[in-house]
Amino acid sequence: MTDDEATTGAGHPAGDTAAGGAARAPGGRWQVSIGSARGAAHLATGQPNQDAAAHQDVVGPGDPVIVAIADGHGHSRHFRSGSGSLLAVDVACQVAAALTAGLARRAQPAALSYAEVDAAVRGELAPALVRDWRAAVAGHLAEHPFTPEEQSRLDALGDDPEIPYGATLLVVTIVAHWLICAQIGDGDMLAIRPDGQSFGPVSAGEKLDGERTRSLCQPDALAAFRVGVHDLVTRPLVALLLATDGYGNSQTADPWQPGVGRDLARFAAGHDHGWFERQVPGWAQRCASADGSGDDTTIALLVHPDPAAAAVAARQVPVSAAADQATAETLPAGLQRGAGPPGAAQVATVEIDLAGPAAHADTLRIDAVPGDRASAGPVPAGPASADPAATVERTLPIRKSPPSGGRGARPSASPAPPPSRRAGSPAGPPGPSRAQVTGSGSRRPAGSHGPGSRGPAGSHGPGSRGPAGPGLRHPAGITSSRRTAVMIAAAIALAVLAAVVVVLLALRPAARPAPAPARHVQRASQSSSASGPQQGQAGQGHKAGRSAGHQHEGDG
Amino acid sequence: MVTSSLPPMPGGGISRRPLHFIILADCSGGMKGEKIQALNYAIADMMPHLAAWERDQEQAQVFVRAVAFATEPRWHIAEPVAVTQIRWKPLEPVHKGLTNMGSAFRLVAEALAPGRIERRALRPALLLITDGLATDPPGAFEDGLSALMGQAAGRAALRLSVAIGRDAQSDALNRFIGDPTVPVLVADNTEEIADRLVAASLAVSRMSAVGADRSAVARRLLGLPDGTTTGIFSQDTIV
Repeated sequence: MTDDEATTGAGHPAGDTAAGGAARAPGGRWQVSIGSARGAAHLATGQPNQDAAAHQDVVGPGDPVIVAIADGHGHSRHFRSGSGSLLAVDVACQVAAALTAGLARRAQPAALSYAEVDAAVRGELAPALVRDWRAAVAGHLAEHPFTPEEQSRLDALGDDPEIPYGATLLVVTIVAHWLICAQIGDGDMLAIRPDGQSFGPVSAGEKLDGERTRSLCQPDALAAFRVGVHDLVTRPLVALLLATDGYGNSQTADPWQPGVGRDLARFAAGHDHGWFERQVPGWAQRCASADGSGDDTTIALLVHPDPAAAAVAARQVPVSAAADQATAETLPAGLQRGAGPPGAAQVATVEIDLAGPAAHADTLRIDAVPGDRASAGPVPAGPASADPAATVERTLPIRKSPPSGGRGARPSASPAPPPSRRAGSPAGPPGPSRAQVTGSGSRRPAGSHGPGSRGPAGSHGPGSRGPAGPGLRHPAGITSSRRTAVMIAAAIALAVLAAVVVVLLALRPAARPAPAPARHVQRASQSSSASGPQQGQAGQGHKAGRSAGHQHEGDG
Repeated sequence: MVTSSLPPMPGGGISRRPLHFIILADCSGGMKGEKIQALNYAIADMMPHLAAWERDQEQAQVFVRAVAFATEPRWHIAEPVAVTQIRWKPLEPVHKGLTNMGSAFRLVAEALAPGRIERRALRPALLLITDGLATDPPGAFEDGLSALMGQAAGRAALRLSVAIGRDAQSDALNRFIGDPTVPVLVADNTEEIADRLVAASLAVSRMSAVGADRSAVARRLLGLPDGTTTGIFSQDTIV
C-alpha cells in the first residue's frame, strides 16, 4: 500500500453484528459510522448475514471518502450472494478510488467543473462497477468452483454463473465538494440537509413487488444502475444515510424518510462521531430483529465533519420558495425532476439511464431540481435548462470552509492513487487496508469524543432545547391550523368578555372603559408568529428554520 | 411498533412488515345452511393457525380483511385487523344472491392500489372461497380480474382458491390463481372446508417468508408433483 492508497477503511462481511465504520482521518473528512446485523429470519434459518460494507478514506486531492454497502440476495438461487456482496463493496471501493484518481489527474477535484465530474461518472463509474464485479466473480469462481450439486442446480435453472452471487450495491464518494452516488437494486440512500429536510440523491427505483430487486447479477445490470452527482456547495448536506432494505422495511412510518431525515439532522447537530459509532450498530440490530424487518440490515451513515458549518452554508444558499423545499426535498429523487424556475440552472442532480453497455452519452438525462438555488447565490444565474452545457460552463469555486482539511495539500499533479486492492482476492482474507470488522463495536470508551468532537454540551445539544423537544417543534407545540383555532377561540372569548364589559359599563357608567378586544386578538396573532420561523433572528435562525421544516413535513 | 425506552433511533419506530391476507368469501344464496356455517367455522378455525405462524416467524405481521360477495360485493372486514386481534363475525348468505366474482375482484383491486397498502408490505395473499360457478354478466369477470391484475400488488399476490364441492372447481378459479400448476383446493364436503383453509393458510404463510423456495412449499403443502416449479409463486430476485 502506498501513501496514496487507502489509509483507513473498514469492510466487513457483516457477521452477527459488525460495527465501527472507520478511523477518522485528521482534518475535516466526512465521518463514517457503519453497523450491520444479521436478520432474525436469517438467524432462524441458519443463513449468514449476506450484507457487506466497506469504507475507504483515500489520501489524495479532495480527500475522497468512499462508502459502499451491498445486500446479497436471500433466495436459495443466489447461494453465493454473501460472497457476491463482499466482492461488490470491494470492487466499489476500487472503482470509486480509481474514479477520484482520474479526476485528480485532470485538476484539483474542488476546481473541477460539473461537466468534468458528470462526464467521468457517466462514462466510467457504472460500467466499471459492472465490469469489475463480473471479473471479481470470475476470479472467485476460479478459486472456488461450483460443487457438482451447485452446478447441476445452475444447469437445471439455466442460470449464468453470476446468478448465485447476486447482490445489490450502493456506493457513494465524497471528493472535495462533490457527492457521487451509484445504486443498483433496493436499499436506500437519503441525503439530509441541515434543516432536516431530505431527498434521495439517486432517482427512485421503480416499484417492484417488494420482494424482487434489481441486481448486479442480471445480464443488463448496467441499465439498472442509478447514478447521481451533487454539488455540496449549492446543496449543503449534514448527513447521508445508506441502508440495505432491511432498514427501510422495518420502518413503520410510510414514507419514513422525512422523519428519519429530521432526526438525523438533529442528532448530527448534537452528537459527535463517537456517539454515532456507538448508536448505528444498535440501530441496525434493532431493524434486523424480529421486532423489525427480520432481514439483514446494514447502515452506513456519513456525517458532515462540522454540522454547524454545514448549517451556515445551507443558510447562505438562497432558497426563494419554501414550497420548493417542501415538495422537492422530501420526495424520492424521481419525483423532484422538472423544469426549475429561473435561477435553477445549476443542476445538482444528474440521472443517467444507461440503456445498455454501449449507450452512454445519448441517454444522459439532466434535469433541473426545483429545490436548488445554486445559481441564485454567488453563482451567476442562468436560465433553467436541461441542457448540460447550461450547467457546466462554470467552474465552481472552492468552498471557503472546506470540510476536508487535506484538500489542496497535494498538488494537482500528484500521482493519482492507484486502485488499492485490485490485485487481491476479495473472497480471501481482507487486505490490510480493509480491516474486517466484527464483534461489538465500540472501540472507544463510551462517552469519549475524538478530535473535532462537537460535544453534547454545545448549543446544539439536545439538553439545550428544553423538555419540549430538541427545538424542532413550534414553541407552543401547535400547528398553524391549531393556532388559527386558538386565535378564533381567543377572539370569541374576548368578544364575549367585551360584550360583558359593555353590559357592565352600561349598568355601571362609572366603570373604566374596556380595552379594545381586537388588539388583543392581533397581539395574540403576532405573539404566535413571533416565535415562528418568520422571526428568524441571528440567534434563533437555526432553530426557527428547523421548526419550519418540521412543520411543513409534518403536514405533508 | 417498538417504542420502548431504548436508545434514540431516527424515525417513527419499527415494526414487522405487514402481510395483508384478504378473504373473498362466496355468500350467494347457494351457501345458505350447512355450507355457510361450515365456512364460518373454518375461517374462525384458520385464524389461530395464522396467528401461530405469525408468532413463530420473524418477519411478518398478518392483517386480515374479508369481502363477502354475492350479486354485489361488500367488505365484511373493511379495515385490516391484526390476526391476533380478530374476532370472526359470521358471514350471512344473501337470499337468492348470485356468484358475481368480477366485482369482488375490483373491490379488492381498489384496496391494493398504490398508496392503499404500505410500500414495505409483503406480497398480499388472496383466498377465494366459493361453492359455485361464476355468474357474472358477460365481460364482468374478465374486467374485474383485469382490474386486480392491473395492480402491482394484485399481480404479485399469492392467490389461492378453495372450491366447496367438485362442481365449484371451474376455469374461473384457475384463472384467478393464474398458475396452472397450482391446484384449486377442493373440499368435497363441509367437513373438509376447515382442512382446506388450514392448508391454504399454511401455504400463504410459508410462501410469504422472504427467501422461501415457494415452489418447494407449494409442492409440499398443495400436493404438487415433484419437480413442479410454480410460476406465480416463483421468487426470482432478478427482474
